[in-house]
Amino acid sequence: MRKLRIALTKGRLEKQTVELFERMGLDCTELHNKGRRLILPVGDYEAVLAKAADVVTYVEHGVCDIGVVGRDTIVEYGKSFYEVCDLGLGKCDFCLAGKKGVPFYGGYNVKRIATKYPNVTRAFFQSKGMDVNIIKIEGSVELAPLLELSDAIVDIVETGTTLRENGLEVYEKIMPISARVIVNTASMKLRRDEIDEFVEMIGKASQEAKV
Amino acid sequence: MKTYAKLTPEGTRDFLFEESDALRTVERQLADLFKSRGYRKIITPTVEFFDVFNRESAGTLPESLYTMTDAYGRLLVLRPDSTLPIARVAATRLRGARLPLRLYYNQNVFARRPKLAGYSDETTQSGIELLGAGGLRADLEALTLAMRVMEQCGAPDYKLEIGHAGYFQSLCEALGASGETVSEIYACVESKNFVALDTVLDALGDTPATRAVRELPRMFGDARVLDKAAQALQMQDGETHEALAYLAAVYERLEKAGLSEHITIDLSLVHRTNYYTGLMFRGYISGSGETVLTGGRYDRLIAEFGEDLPAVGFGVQTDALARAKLQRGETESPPAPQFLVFGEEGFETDALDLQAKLLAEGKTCENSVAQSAQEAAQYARQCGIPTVYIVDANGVREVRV
Repeated sequence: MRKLRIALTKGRLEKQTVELFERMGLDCTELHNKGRRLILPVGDYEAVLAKAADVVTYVEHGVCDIGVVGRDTIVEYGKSFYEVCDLGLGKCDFCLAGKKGVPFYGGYNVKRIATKYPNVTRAFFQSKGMDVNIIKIEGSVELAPLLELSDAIVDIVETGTTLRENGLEVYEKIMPISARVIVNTASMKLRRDEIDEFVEMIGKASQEAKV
Repeated sequence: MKTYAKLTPEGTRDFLFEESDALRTVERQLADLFKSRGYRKIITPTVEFFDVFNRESAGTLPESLYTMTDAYGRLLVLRPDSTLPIARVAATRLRGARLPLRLYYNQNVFARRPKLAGYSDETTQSGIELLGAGGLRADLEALTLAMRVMEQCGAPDYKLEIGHAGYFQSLCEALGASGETVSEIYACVESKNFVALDTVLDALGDTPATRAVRELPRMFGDARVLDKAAQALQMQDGETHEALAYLAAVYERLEKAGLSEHITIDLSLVHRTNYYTGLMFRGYISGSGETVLTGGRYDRLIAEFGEDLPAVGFGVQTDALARAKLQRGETESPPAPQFLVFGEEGFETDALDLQAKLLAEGKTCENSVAQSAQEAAQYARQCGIPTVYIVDANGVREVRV
């Protein structure tokens, strides 16, 4: 049977996850000297490096058994898998933000919202029974209200520094976000013991890291 | 003008050669399994009225349906499922038929799936429905047949998980939460999202029921789960205990039959199609990230169509089984025919007669449409056909290739 395959989100979350792996006593030499390789052995596992949105896709299809990915990606792409553990890494919030001092909910006009997360935005305003116009932006969403393309933005906010430096403020927090461990449905049934062991180990490592 | 004449719509595909062979093999194996046990085939229309599926219990999302209208503006759908049409037939044309009714089907179902995600909108399903029979005997028949299916067409390392709809339902009733909260809990349990589940339950305070629900996502594994759940359940509610006892009884029978190594118990098994009322099961094989078999008892569904019949059944994703077969390298492309017949000008039908004679003898034989005997021999060489029969005025000549 092939090794358990774990999809890691490239970038900052990857570094933090590797730290947890080391805490778990896994041999991460290959991950440190990865060069341009995308599939690497880590202890008895196989790590796959991918963009966040692809991590959920690989896990949903079962080509990777386990994934480490931000909750923002999970709620935006809404795929089907098991979400088994909160690693407490990369903590931030989904927020509604806009120009400082402008009352967002005032007036009758339909608001325009710029965002990288159209599904999260749609669900949020649907729950408020509010009709909004969503514009998908790929890069720095903060630009949209500054250039008066939109009335507000929905984005992830960690410290709020970027917002403050551009004269924006958080109007409302939508939901807290952190990195999660996700597991493919079929793998969970077929390789239960190995997966349980991994999840328990990484859960423990994340608890220790918090202390 | 831009044309799509050379494409198939997104979510659909052509099946060629090995792929269609593997699919037909699986379908034939399943049909044999079902027929030999007294199940009769049923074919329902591809297009049905929307009303057949427009019910709370179906759990079909409206955005996943392929819809159209008939000449009177009535809403039609491409069937997303075969169980509901069969329930319709059972309550109408088969009303008063001798029970139990054993039916099997093998037909395509349609659902709009997320685009650009590698899913098919048109999939093939086979399955059985055992109608008009309640209780353990019928459940065991369906369950062991499902295991037989997984063993013969799935993979040797298949897993079947069993659960009970009543367990989760009665726990939710005991929570006394609003419908919205219950559906939130439902979603958390289905995706084994411990984190979100805890948040929802925190708002409901600490009661025996919330403690039991909190444990739910962890309640899967072997038979020990049942004891663990029964102990953890600090409730007197009969229904939850009944569900646990029922699963224990099912497990005991399967253990006796030597089948328990493939069984896991999952008390958190909940299903979007919430017509299930009792035993529920799902099958998994390696090489397929999705569920390949889904089934269970649905005692109240047929009553929605006007006939109160208990029922149990399951459906198998035959295309997923065929794909797994191909992945494992169990391809079965048919061997080249043994003979090729070629008729010289004026003897074309004689060649076809010879072909018919050879076929009647149980041989495999292809008719050559080449322009000359030489061309026919060349074709045979390319296809690996060992023998060519050439028919002309002198009778039949055999050419070894």
